[in-house]
Amino acid sequence: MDSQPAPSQDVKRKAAREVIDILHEIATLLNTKLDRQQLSYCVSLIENGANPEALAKVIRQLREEFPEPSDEGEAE
Amino acid sequence: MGQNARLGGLTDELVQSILNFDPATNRQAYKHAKDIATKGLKAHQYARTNQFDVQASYSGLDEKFRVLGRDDLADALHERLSEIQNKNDKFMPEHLSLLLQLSDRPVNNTRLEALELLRPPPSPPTLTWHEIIADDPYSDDEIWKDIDYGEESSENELLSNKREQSKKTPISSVEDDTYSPESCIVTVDKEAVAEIQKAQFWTLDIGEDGERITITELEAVRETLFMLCGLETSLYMNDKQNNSIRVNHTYTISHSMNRTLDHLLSQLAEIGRKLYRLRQWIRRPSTLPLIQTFEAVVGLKLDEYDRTLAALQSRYLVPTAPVSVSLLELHEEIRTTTKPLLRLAELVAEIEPLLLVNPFAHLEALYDQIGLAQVTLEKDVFDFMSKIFFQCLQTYLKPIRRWMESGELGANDETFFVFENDSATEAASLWHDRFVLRRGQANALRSPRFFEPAAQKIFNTGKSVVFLKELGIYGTGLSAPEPEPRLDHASVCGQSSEVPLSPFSELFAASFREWIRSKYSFASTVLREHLFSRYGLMTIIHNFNLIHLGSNGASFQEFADALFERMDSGERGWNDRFLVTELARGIFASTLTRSEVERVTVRSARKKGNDRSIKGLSGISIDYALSWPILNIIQRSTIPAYQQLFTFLLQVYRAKYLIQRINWRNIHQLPNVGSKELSKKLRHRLLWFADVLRFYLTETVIAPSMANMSRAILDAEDIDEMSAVHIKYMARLQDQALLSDNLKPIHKAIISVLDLAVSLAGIFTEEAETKEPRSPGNRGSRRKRKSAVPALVEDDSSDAESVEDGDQGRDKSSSAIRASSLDGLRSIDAQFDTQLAFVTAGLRSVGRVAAEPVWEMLAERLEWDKAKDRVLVNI
Repeated sequence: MDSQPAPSQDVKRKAAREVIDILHEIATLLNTKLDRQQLSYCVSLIENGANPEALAKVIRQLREEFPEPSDEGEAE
Repeated sequence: MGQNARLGGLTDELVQSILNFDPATNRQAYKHAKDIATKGLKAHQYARTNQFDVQASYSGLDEKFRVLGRDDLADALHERLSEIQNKNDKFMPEHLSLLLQLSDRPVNNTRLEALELLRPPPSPPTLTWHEIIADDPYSDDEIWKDIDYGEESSENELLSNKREQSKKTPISSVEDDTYSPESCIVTVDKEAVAEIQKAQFWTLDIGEDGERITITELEAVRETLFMLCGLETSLYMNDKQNNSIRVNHTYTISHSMNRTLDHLLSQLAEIGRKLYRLRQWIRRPSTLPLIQTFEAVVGLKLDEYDRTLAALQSRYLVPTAPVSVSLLELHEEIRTTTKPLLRLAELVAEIEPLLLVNPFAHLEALYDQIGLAQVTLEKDVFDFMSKIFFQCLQTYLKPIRRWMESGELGANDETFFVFENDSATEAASLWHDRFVLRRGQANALRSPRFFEPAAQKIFNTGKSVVFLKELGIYGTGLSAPEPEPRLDHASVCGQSSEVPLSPFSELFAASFREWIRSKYSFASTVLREHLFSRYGLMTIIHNFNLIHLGSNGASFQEFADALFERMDSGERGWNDRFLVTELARGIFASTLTRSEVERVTVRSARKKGNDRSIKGLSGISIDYALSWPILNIIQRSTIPAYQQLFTFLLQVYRAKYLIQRINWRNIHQLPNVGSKELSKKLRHRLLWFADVLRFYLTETVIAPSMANMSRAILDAEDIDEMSAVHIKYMARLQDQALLSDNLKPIHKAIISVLDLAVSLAGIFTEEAETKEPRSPGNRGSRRKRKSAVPALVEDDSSDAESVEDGDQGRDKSSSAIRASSLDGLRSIDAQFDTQLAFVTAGLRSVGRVAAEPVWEMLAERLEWDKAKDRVLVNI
């Protein structure tokens, strides 16, 4: 079905990078406080079958229990 | 279960990154966190994500943003979402839903700038071959075409800007200087050219019938101005052979007659000719700095004149107000402005041949012209000439200044009037002989005429400086205290708009005197001070007085007595100069200081004839050593006068001495009453004569003269004056003391009278000798050792026994001697009378002729025993 030849690893990697870029931008826009590394883990987790709701909950829990120093610095 | 393992690994990593601390430090906390994560992810109760829900949520979010005024957020989100939709990602809804769930109040907290930070730096676009080839093709057909240079000229800027490679400017900005020749040609305005060609009237040929070419008056004005500047013109022709300018008669002005035009133009040509000659003269080189200065100054004046001509030209070229072009007006104006320069031109033409002979000709000519201009009240000419004069004078003053300030002369300076005669003259005649004034023909001083009054002073100043240098006191701390006054037009003639009232010669002389005085007074004052204080000029004169002229009678008498004793002792070496010098020094030590005494020496010369006579005394002369600066004043030529006076005085003293030695007893022992009387009379007369003479010499002649001379020397200003005073006084002294040449007979007569004293004394010593028996040997020798009279007295006692022996002898010869002595006395008497009469007559006659009243006085005194006609004055 594809008119183009099979995409090479480079192209795949590039595409994935682009997706992560855009998602990171959206994450920043929505003020999710996820950095790129964390986002890429999340994406990998989801792609490996993790449930987004559950993952969000986990992250929220972990954040509550182990607040980052920067969180305390931020004024709410 | 690979997936689970993967999940586990990923979970671990996520936890790690969220926890933000090293699991090793807090294993428990880490474990706890891991449990949470694992448990949480294992839950299955969650429904599958509905992508439509997610979409709806996102659109709702979008609306919310817009409503709340965060349009920017909404736009950015929308953009990203649309990008994401393009990606065919299976899990996209899940991702989006995760993000949605994690979002934390984006309205308030999100800042768009954060977005910018996310954006990674754009990697430089990779250069593709396509791009390279597009820029610079390997080949294209255009290369082989002919280059069209016109295309790439700098005028077509747009074309060059298209080139992309011109992002960086090249290092050497070489512009394309190719251009087409056609673009260089400026189209010519043909009418203007025709006009210019028409205006070049000199290219027109004269008509066949001798008709003149018409030119405009403006053109004539222009030609005239050019001619006056010294440029070649066609209206006036430069005639180089005759050195003149002639009018070219081929041109005429339309509105004037030929004759008038020619006349006017020839007048202008006359002015031009003189200027032309002046310009030619300047170009000739000259070697003397004086002439060079003059040429330079004249050149400057010509430059100024050229500038006024240029101003005139600009009046016609760029008129600020309407100006009428008139050759007559121009002529008038030129005449007035050129007047001083014309006068100068005439002056130069006159003196040009003289300059070779007399390098001051221009100074003298300028000086005369200035005086003339002042008298004729031509202020412009006066100022003009005077400025030139003073500028030229500065060059002339340079060697003068040098001479006056440091006593140096230029090596071969012909123009300066001081001239080193002989550089090896001894110091004693430094003042008088080393430098002389250079004199030209007819003994005229070689300097400009107006300098002559000041020349002597200049000369003396320089000599004073040289003198000071020789003394070694010049230059150490001696600096001119006041700056020299300026000698230029402004300071001499004043700045007023009128010609000064005093004659220029007076003004100049006064200023120049000031100038000289500023230099002269200093050097001469110092020199005078030095001569008087360190060298003790007055002390020396006083000492001279003392030694030569017997001003201190006591010491002179002492010396004279001692000398005569020696003389009469009959020794052969009585006038041995060392012994006599010692004698003199010893005597004068009481009146002179020690250092001065050392300078006294006595010389004696061998004289033929009777040593004991008066004339023999002229061989004795006393000397006083002088230092060389003093010798410049008291010149060696005057010292013989001192010697003569000294001798004369000594002779008088001698006469008196001898007469005083005549023992009264001897007179009484004369047998003849007549001879007794005669001898008494003679003794008296001779004594009187000697006294009168001595008084005359010391009191009447010497003392007042010396007092006057000392005063005059103190008043004298410089060495010249001092030595002149000294010479004058010595000459006068000689005259008055009857020692000058024309009074020689009188002097001889006086000397012979003094000689009579010797003979009288001689008679009495013979008498005494004959009364005494001559015993050979010791008595004679004893007699010889002592003077005649004491020997007589002493021998009386010791040679009592020999008296009887000699008595007979005496008795035998006594009668002969008595006879001879009487004759001698008579002859002495007769001679005395005649000589005295001669002396007085001579004195009277000379006193009548010449102006010395002292001779009359002496004559009066010598004639005391004559009956005079007493003229009774009726009261």
